[in-house]
Amino acid sequence: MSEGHAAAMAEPTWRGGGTPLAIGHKKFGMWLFIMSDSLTFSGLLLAYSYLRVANDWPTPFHFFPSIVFSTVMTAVLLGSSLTMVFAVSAAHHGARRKAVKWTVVTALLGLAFVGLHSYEWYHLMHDEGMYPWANEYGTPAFGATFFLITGLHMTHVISGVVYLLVVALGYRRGKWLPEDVEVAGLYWHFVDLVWMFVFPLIYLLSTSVD
Amino acid sequence: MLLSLIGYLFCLAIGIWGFYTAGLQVAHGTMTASLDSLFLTMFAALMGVTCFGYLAWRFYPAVTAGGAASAGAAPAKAAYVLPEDPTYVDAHIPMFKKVWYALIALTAIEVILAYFQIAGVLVMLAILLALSVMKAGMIMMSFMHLQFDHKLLKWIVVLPAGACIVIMCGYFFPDAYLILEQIGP
Repeated sequence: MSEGHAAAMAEPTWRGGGTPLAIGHKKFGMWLFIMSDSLTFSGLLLAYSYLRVANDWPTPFHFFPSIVFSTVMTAVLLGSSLTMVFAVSAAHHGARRKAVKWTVVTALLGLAFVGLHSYEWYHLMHDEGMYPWANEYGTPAFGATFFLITGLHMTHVISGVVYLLVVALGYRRGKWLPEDVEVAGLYWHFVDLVWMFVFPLIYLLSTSVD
Repeated sequence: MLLSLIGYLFCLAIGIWGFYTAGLQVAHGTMTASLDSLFLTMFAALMGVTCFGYLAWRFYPAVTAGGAASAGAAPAKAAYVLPEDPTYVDAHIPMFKKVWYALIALTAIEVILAYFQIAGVLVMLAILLALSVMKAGMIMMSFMHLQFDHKLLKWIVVLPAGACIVIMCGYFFPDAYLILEQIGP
């Protein structure tokens, strides 16, 4: 328990003391952000579903390379969640070097995800002629929803990588606490969680029927 | 105890009714016959997902408690364990690994389903969404620690967002099908 945390617990409830949810304010703030962000993504995914139901929707993704690529990306993201768990565990034990190491490994896996996804985008644009504004499948909204949703998710991954590296540096210098590593982990798991919906809805449901 | 047992059985019954009704509508092809049957299908499917989601949510900690218990001193059920306790996360590492294997396995099932294309798009959607909700619940309960957090936090996090998503579904899908009926694909 950090000192500020302990001091807050000692105060009476109406003077800002006590933690009714038994978590720190940083963690609670991150949970509130995650709630609002999950509504953003669910709004986008519902808009995609709406368009999909109301239009003749193409199913252009070949099993290789698109589905295989996105499956590998899913595995990489899930793996980064596990390394993040190791980092949080090490931080709570005060094993500073280990915690920093696992946090950096998590960030590197995030970068690998971004790299694979960028290549996937490149492939779709150059080989399949699919752009945010036009495609060859006859439903222009397909590209718009695809690039918007996966693009917003990729933005989250990129900012998550930056966030993790900043936290790793600050934690190594002793500026930040184990709780900060845990809050960063919370964000990272949420990014993973969102992909668990994006992957089946965007990719697997649009697998081409040969 | 008796009351909660009745509640779970009730939940189970409504969940089974929901999936059965929705499945019947889809199987008979009457889902888009009228706006009423469409609404019934959507409502039944949502009730099924909600009830089974709740049951999974409720009983998930009991199912995965084995990993934590075998790791020794696990403060799993104490209401006010603060995350700063060093035994907090470490005791659950074997459990986290188990959950991770399960997540990979569920992803593999999804990909295999997509590869063999064994069902139509609606049935695929139902299966994939059910698996995704399961995966999301597992990530939230274990990796994001919700399993060990205060009960109130679980409800604050899940209930408003979940209700909002369910209501949005109720608005969007009938409207989208209406467009499909009126102007055709």
